[in-house]
Amino acid sequence: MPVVLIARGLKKAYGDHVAVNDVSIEISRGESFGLLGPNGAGKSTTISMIVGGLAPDAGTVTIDGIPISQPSAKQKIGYVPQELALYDEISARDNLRFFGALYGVSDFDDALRIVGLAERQRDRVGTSSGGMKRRLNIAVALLHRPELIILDEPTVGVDPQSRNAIFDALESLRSQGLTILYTTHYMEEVERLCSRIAVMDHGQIVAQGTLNDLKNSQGVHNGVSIQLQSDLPVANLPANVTQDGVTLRVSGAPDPAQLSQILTLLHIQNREIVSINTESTDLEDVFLQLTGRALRD
Amino acid sequence: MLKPILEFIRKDLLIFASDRRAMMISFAVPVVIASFLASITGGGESSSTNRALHVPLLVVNEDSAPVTKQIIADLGKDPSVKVIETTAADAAKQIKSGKSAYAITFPKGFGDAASKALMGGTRPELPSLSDPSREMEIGILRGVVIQTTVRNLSRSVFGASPGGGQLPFTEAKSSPVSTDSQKWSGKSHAFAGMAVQGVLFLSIEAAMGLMRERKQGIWKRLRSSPVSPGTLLIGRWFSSAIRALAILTVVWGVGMLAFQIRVQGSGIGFALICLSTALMAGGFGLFIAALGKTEQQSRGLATLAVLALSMLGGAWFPSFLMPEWVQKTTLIMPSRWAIDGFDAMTWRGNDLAAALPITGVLLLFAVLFTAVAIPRFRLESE
Ligand SMILES: Nc1ncnc2c1ncn2[C@@H]1O[C@H](COP(=O)(O)OP(=O)(O)OP(=O)(O)O)[C@@H](O)[C@H]1O
Ligand SMILES: [Mg+2]
Repeated sequence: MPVVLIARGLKKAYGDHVAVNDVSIEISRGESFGLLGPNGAGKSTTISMIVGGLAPDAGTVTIDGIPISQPSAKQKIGYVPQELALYDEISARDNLRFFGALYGVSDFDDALRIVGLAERQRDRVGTSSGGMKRRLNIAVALLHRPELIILDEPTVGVDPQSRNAIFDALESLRSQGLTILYTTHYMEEVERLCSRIAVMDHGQIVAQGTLNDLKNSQGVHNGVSIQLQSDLPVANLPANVTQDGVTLRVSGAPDPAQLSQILTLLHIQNREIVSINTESTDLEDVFLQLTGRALRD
Repeated sequence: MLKPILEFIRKDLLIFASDRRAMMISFAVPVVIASFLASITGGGESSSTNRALHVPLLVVNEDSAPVTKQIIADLGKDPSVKVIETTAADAAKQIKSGKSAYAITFPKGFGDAASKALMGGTRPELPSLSDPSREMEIGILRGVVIQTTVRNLSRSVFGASPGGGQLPFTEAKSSPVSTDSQKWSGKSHAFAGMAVQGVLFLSIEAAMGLMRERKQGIWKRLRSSPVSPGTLLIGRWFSSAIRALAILTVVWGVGMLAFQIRVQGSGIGFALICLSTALMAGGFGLFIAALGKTEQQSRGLATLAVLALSMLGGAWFPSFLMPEWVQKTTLIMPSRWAIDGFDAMTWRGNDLAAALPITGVLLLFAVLFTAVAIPRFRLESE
């Protein structure tokens, strides 16, 4: 797969505060890439440099090998800012008409349809719901049929219905081969949409890879935990089972044969079970391990 | 390149029109104030709409020269003035008590000395007493006194009115209007002043709009588009200039239709002054937006700046009635040039040649303002 976006060594400081420090990202055609990080991680700053809206202190960005400063590179990308970058005073249609003109586009029915706004296009944006504005915010970036769409937290503050509409639209765009760079601090969104992920914290990328890569690299596994009535040590436990007070942890994918063996063992030793749970690692755990803090404040 | 600029203008006009009330205010405020000022200043050329004001003017005559008598008689004929001849002591008393705002004294020998001064002799003093709190009245009265005095002196010496020249006395320090075609018109001037103040206030609104765009991430979105920063800047500049032009058109339209103001000078010159004033105002808007940090803070500062520019630039009362040092200093203000330009093309009746340098200076201001704004618009430094 040819590489669409190459960002190398991006750096941006505000005074003494380094917001983005040596960030490099490569995205191949057709890929959905998630940039995950907590508030203030530097996601928006990175994205702003990638789309050519902010001059980096160091580093380069190319789209299909063309520096982002070139109009022909900008023509290839669609950017959805984190803010609702729309004119409230005029209609959705007039917004699209204006932003479309910047790309030489005068037909915007497709974009309206993709985000499900065809019926409301003549309403003033200011009177629309938050979800509608979010969708229009995305539609503006789709107008010129970009190769790469870059979305900076496009679902912040939207109702579940709009969020679903947005996701359906993005999934359908992905299936049509559009390359996506998606920024968020919602794990579920990344897990649902993205094939590759970079985790960002304090201005740096702390891990990068597929969801499985990330999970494996952190040595976190799926497993089963068994809560006991008392913390008396259990004898003869298999090697992959550890006891921590009243909790027994069985690591690895749940294996029925081994589980029944453990349950028999407990039965023989007369131990009472309070609960049994399967544990699966999610990005949240990975993130916690990587950064020592939770994704959401 | 042209399409995005046109769309920029269309979009901004739609936004401008979307808030009917704000738009009406932008148009109405300069029109209403100018109309008000025009109806109280009078002094216009057209007697049908010229309301007699009869502002009391205390005259103390210690001179016996015929020309001085003629000046006082002429002052009496001016509809904006009501001449009250009195003594120096009484004049002082009346001004102190607030009954009058302004008294003028023709000292002994004034007529002869001033007539000689026209030929190059030493200039006599023309003392005046005034109540400084009543600037409007003083402005009117001084204008009338200077005009009438100079006209009569010139007539008695040359038999006609010579153009320009130094005042034959040391009261007014500027080159006064002295030919008949250059008849000071308070109405015209009121519209010139308020038109310029109106477009400057509009610039603030345009700047606030730009700052809102920046806060909302629209600048980032625009910069991520393939349109060059220069084109974006021109789009913004022209779109505010066009709104300014709309205001100028409405204000002058009302002035011409309702107050019979005429462009007595060059029509092309007048159009050029309108255009360059609008471009200057557009640039001024960019300038405010580029320098400003928060909307509220900038609005306050910009409002102060516009009031100062208007007042010192002569929008409230004419520059030629201000002290000489003020007149010199205010040449650094675009408002002064714009107002002078409109004055020149309307009541002064100057020709195109007079409009060109003023247009040039206004365009220079436009370019300077815009140039200062460029770095901020080109790359987001935040
Ligand atoms: N214009 C600015 N001036 C100064 N500091 C800034 C500016 N913009 C961002 N920062 C700082 O840079 C860091 C990264 O900000 P950025 O907006 O890129 O984070 P983010 O990951 O997008 O966060 P969020 O999830 O809240 O959007 C933050 O510490 C922020 O305070
Ligand atoms: Mg952000």
